[in-house]
Amino acid sequence: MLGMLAKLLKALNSEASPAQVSFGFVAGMIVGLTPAWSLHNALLVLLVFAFRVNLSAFFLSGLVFSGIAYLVDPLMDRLGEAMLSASGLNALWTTMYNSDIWRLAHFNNTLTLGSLASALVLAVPFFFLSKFLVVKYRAHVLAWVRKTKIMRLLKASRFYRLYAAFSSGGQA
Amino acid sequence: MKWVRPGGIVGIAAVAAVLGLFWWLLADWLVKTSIEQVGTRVVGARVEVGDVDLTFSPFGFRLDQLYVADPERPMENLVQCASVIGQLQFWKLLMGQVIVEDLAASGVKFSTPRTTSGEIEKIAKPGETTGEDKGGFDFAGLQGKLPSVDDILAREPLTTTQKATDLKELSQARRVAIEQGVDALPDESRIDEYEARIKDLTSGKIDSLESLKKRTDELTELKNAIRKDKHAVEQLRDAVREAKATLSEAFSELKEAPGRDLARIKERYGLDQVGAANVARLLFGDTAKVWLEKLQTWYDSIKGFLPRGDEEPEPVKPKRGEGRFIHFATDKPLPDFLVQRAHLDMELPVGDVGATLTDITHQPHILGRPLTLQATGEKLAKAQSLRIEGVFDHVDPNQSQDRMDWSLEGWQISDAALSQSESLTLVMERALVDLSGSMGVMGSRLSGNVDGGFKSVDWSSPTKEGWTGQLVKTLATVNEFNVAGKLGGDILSPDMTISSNLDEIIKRVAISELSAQQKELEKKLRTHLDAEVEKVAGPYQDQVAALTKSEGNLDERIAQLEELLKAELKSAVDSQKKEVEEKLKDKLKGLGF
Repeated sequence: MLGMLAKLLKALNSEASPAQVSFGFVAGMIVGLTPAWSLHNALLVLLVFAFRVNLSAFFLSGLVFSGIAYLVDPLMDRLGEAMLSASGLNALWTTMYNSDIWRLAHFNNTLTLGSLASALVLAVPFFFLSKFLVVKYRAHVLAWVRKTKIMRLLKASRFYRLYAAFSSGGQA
Repeated sequence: MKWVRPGGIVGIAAVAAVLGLFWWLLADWLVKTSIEQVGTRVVGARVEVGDVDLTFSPFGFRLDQLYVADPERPMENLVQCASVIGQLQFWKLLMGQVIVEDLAASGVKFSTPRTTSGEIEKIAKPGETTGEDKGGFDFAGLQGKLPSVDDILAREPLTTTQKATDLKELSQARRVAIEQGVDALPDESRIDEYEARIKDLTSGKIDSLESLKKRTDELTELKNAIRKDKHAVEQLRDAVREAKATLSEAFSELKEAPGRDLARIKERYGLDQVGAANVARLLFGDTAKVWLEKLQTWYDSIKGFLPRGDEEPEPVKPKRGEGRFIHFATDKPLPDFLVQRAHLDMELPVGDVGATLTDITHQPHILGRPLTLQATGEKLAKAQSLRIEGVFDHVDPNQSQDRMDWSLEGWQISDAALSQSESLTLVMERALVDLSGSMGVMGSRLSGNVDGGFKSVDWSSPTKEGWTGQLVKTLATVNEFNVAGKLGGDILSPDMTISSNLDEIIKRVAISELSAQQKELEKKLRTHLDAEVEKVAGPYQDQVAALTKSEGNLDERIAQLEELLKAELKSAVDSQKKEVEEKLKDKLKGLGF
């Protein structure tokens, strides 16, 4: 956990693109909020590994949003139930139900659909929000933090040594 | 390439390789273990698989040496298969549906012996049938081994004995009650005393009004005492009459009891049924029962997987974090488990038979089609042909209908033991049989029939003596006969009737042989029961005579008391008046009137 946090800080403080970090956060959010063993998560994990999305942001975000999902999954379950029961969408669901690939995606599971819909709705604002925060962090917080006494103290700590070790290593 | 992470792609490939290795090394073992564990739990006896091989192209499995032990007979296999090859739909499996497109089982054998017991922890099945023969008639009743009088009396609670005991107890109770009543009655001396006092009161001179009043009071008091005694005597007389009536009724019941006992014993021990003995059931009942039990076992096995109408689907609350699957209309509805087509090559005692089953599923209501069965065998080792057709329709679980029709032609029977009792060993050495029948189950109601035509029958039996010897001789002349069976009742406790034109032939032998024995037994029983009645009849007659005598005495005493109650002072007063009148007349004469 400490290592992962250090890696994240390293990514935040590095020259890595804010979009890469934000994509990691968004992908982690989707995986964390929706049931782990589902087709879309498998595809998402493949994409995250295959492309240069920040893995530390992905794992940390996934961990945090798994905890949040545990709290809100009754709400997401109800949302999925309402969507699947909506008479206006019945034709769409019936068409999808008759397709093997959609059945494989478990779209007709109340929790899968409810959580995925919630995650997708949040994905775009969350991407821009996290990107904005990364940029702001680098412009203001990082410069300020580096000047604080506490940072100077931290530089002498084990955490900083870890951070420095990752900083000198390859990019995640 | 700026956006691509080569290391990540290598990692994904590595994970895929590990999964492939896992499949290659462990999947066969995992599937074999799962089949054995789940199968053992479902069947209730050991399920063993020799080898499992999973294949990718076509996607499926092959099981070798599958053994399913019989939970009822652990040293037998319910079924064994040399190999089972199945092809599955890969995508459906990923969606959680086991859809077997084609299943082929070869070397299928039933009821084969096992070298090790297939028993697991025994669980009693509810509603297990005892297989009781409702016909209630066996060779013991026909073979001349009728029960003895002593056996019957030892086993049977006799109404005669009970009624005799009742009469004795009743008699004793009434006697005690009447004796107590007699002790409380006025005796002869008291009646004499009453007479003397009445005489005193109603005679003698009454010299004043005070004297008259005193006598009147005393007489009233005396009459009250007499009335009280009379009432007690009347009560006792009524009790005697009631005792006589009760005892008489009990005695009448006692006299009727032997007749009732005899009728019941005759019915229970089949003494009345010899004429209607169902010989076909005796000869073929055991065999039919074994077949019926096998049929029930197989039906139970199939039915266990089919939905029942009385099963209300329980609303299952989804677990936290799992959600609920909602199903929509589809033109290709598929259940969670389905074998679309299964072909079995069976090695039966009658010969090799091929069977095809379609649409095997525990959710026929989703599929919308019933399970069908077709089995055919031509030019079999021991028959000309076998045909079985069945439909197990549970598409609507509330209106389930199962039906099976079969025919077996030219079945060559050899050395079929029909009876192996001490008194009769009967073997059908050879016969050519044509069998046809059907069986249907609607809900839990069973219906069915079997018709069998036996030709070229040869019998053999070492039994030469007695009526069974006569029966064997008679059967030796019969080389062609028919047997018909009917099934009905509940599937868990079916009723079975078997009839044959053999019945008439054999009945004649049975009746002539047994009628003499039965008559002797009936006579002995009657003698015994009559003796039971006689034991209590003598004392009863004496008591009734005594009661009649007591009743007469009591009537006499009541009459005496009634007579005493008639006494009045009027006579004494009249006598006194007359005396006064006489004196007055004398005085008037003296005065010259």
